[in-house]
Order: sequence, then C-alpha cells, then structure tokens
Amino acid sequence: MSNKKKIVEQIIRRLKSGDPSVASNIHEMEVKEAVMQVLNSRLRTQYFESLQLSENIPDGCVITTYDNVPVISWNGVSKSTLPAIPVSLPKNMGVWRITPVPYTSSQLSAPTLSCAVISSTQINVTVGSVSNAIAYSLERSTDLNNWTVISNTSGTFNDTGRTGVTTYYYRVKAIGNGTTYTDSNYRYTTATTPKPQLATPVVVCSNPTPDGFDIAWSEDAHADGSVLERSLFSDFSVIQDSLQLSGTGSGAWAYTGLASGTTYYVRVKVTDSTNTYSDSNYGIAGSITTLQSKLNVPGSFASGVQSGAFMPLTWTDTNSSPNESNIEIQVATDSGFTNIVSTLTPGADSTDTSFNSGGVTGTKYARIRAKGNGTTTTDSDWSNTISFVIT
Amino acid sequence: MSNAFEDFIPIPSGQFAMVLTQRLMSDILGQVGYEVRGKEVIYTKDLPAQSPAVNYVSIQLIVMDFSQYSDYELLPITADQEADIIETVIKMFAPEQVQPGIVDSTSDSK
Repeated sequence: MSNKKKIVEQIIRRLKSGDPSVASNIHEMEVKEAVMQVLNSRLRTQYFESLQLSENIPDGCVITTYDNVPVISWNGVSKSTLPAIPVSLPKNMGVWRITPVPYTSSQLSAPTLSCAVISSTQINVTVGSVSNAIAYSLERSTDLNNWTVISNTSGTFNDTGRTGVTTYYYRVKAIGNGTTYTDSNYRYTTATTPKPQLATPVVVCSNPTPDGFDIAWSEDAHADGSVLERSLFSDFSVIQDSLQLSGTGSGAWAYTGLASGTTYYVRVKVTDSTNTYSDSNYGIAGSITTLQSKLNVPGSFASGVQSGAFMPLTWTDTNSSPNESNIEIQVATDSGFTNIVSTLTPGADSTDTSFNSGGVTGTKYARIRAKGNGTTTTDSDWSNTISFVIT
Repeated sequence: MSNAFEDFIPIPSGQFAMVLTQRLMSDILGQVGYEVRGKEVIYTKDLPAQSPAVNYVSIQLIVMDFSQYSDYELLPITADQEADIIETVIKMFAPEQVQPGIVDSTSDSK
C-alpha cells in the first residue's frame, strides 16, 4: 500500500522521463485530483448519503468494492485476506458485504475427428485430444438420429464389426468438468464401408509337363468366377496370358501349349458377378518350370560305300537348332556298345559324316542320337543300331 | 448489482465455532456465513471445494472518503490497484503522438 504523495510523485517522475516539457506544465494538484478520480472509479466508491444508509455510519465514510479477492481452503472451511483495512465499526460492519464472484465457464473446443476405412467390417476413428477435457463421447449412428457411445477416450478407436456398403456417422465431443469447462460442441464425420471382399485364393501349381502344368486354387463360397494371370516375371510386370473363368467350382485349370523348360508365375483372384462382393486379392503361386522336351531320333541312319579308311554315314534331320545342339554317333566293335572305338559329334542340323576306321578292319556297330540344349530340350533316344564291315 | 440471496451472512465474532457445531444452523439455509478475524475473513464452507467452486469473492469495505486521507496516510488499495491507478493517470496526461501524414503519390487522398 502506498499514499497519495508517493503515487503523485511517481506519476510526475514517469511523465518527466518521457517528455520533460510535459511535466513542467502539469501541477501536482492536477495529478492528485486525477488520482482521486481514478481511485474512486476503480474502487467504485459509493457514498452513504446516496445509499440512504448513513445511520450508524460516521460521516466521511464511503463503501469501496474490491473484486476478485482470492478464497483459499483452510481447515475444512475457507478464508480470505481483506484487501484493505476498513474503518473500525461495531459488529465488524467495516466489512460491509461479501458476495461470491460467479464462476465463468468456458466451452471446450471440439476435438478433431477423422476416419480411416480399413475394410468392410472395420473403420478406425481417431479423436484428437483437447486441453482440460476430462473425457470424450465418441458416438456412432447410421441414421443421424440414434447414437451409440462407442468410446470415452481420445486417440484411435478401431470400430470393428461393421457391415459392408453402409454409411456410418460419427460424432465426438469433449467432456468438461461441468464447472469451469463445459462440454464442447459435436464434431461430425462420416465413412462408408466398402463391399466385403472375397477371400484370397490359395494357389498351387503341379504336374509340370514339357508344354504345360496344372493349377488349382481355393475358391470363396461367394465367388462365381476366377481370373488367372500368367507371367514370366515374378512381379507380373508383363502379363503373358489372362484367363477369365466363370462358374463356381472352377478352381482348377490345366495350362498346355507352353514352352518347355520355362519358368512361369501364376496368380489367381476370384470374382463375384453379382457385385455383392469385391474381387479378392491375388493369390500368388510359386514359380513352376515346365519339363524339357525330348528331341526326335534322327531318321534313316545308314552307312554308305567305304572309301579307303572312311565309311560315310548319313541320316535325316528330325530336329532343329537351337533345340538341337549337335548330333552324337557312337561306333563300337560290339552291338552292346561296351567297346566304343569312336564318338562322332557332327553339328546341329547336319545330315552326314564319315567314320575314320584308321585301317582297322572288322565289323562295326553304330547308333545316332540328337543332343538337347540342356535348357528346353533333352537328348533324343538312340536310334536303331546299324552295322557295317571295314575291309 | 449483487443478489441479496447470494450475499454471505456475517456471523458475530466468537460465534463461528458454535455455528459450525450446530447441525441445523451450520448450513444457514444453504448460504455461506463469515466471520471477520483481524485482517482475515473465515467462511463457514470450503468454497473452492464446492460445486460450482467459488475461488474469488467481491468484498465491500467501509473506508474513509479518499479526500480525507492526508498525503502521507496509507490508502486502502492493493498493489495491483496502485499500479493500475498510476498507469491510468499517466495515460491521461501523456501527450498523444501525432500520426505522420501518409505520402503516397499513388493514393487518391489529397
């Protein structure tokens, strides 16, 4: 607390420091009068004469009002400290009146609200937190009239058990403490669940042959069709073949006419033509490699007329490169080919060669086969054995 | 304007304890009583713990008319009120800054 003199001096000192010429034109009495005006204004001074309550009140007294005096809890009750010392009157009448300051409540701001549709049966609803909220009321409706409280906290709520192709409305409000903070307004959002999705088929490939393989897959009970896609690439970046099969129970297919010794990737999804369900995700089978094909046996294998030490051998070509890498001819001194004296390897697509006997006479046995390339083709069977005599 | 039914009820000095021990009286018909003890005011209820809570009160005091205070007598004001009064009076006496004129050749104002 201070007195008039100090207050007036402080004001004049402040005014001088701002603009000395101003203070020189201001008289102390002027400032003192202004202080009195403001003092009476701030304390809402009331005179007893005007209130007609002057009985028992000595002359020269006024009523002043001090707002927002704090109240603290104390020993099971509460207390305040007087902001100033009143005049001394009987029965403590110096404290003229005490009234509570009405509490002011402020409304909480509405929480943020967002939805993420996870599936036909699940929507994740996220409620933002609000300062001073003691709880939340997250509610769901399908008609905007009937609401069901589904959560009382902020954060993400996984709303499971929903029905496909249905619009759900959500609203949320922050709950205040009812005194200093009242409930927020509702914030709304909506989300529509998609069609239920057919189950992803499990795909199995089997029985590879040189030109195909079998494929089988599990089929959702609600599916009435399937889409098969075949690729040479595991990421299906290029689809080599796409098949659409209709009708239930079509969970099997046999691929034919494919290249031998080739690795294929196949994936399958099931579909619903009634549009009640959305297509399944692709079920992807592992790779499967078709078997290598066996080359044909060269035809018309025969010996010719000996010329010196050489015996000409001829055949017809029944394969073509690159499937055929070369021709293999074995010449032996026995029909069981246990004593092979020469192995000839003419090139692919050739049709003749000569056996050099080196002057060794006697009966010789010979057989021929086509050699595979090792990737898409395997060797042909041996031809029938022919014999000729070297003289 | 204060509501007479909201006014706290003064309790004569020395009767505070008696009021609290008398069950029928202690509630004072649901209102709040107070007793002045020196520079403190004791209330019959724990006001901040009530619902709605009362954390502040408005107190009216009978004091001498300010014009009767000498220059050196302490005024019945709080430190906050003193600062507020000083700032308000300074604003009353401080000269207003004259706003410079706007020089703008593109403006229509003359």
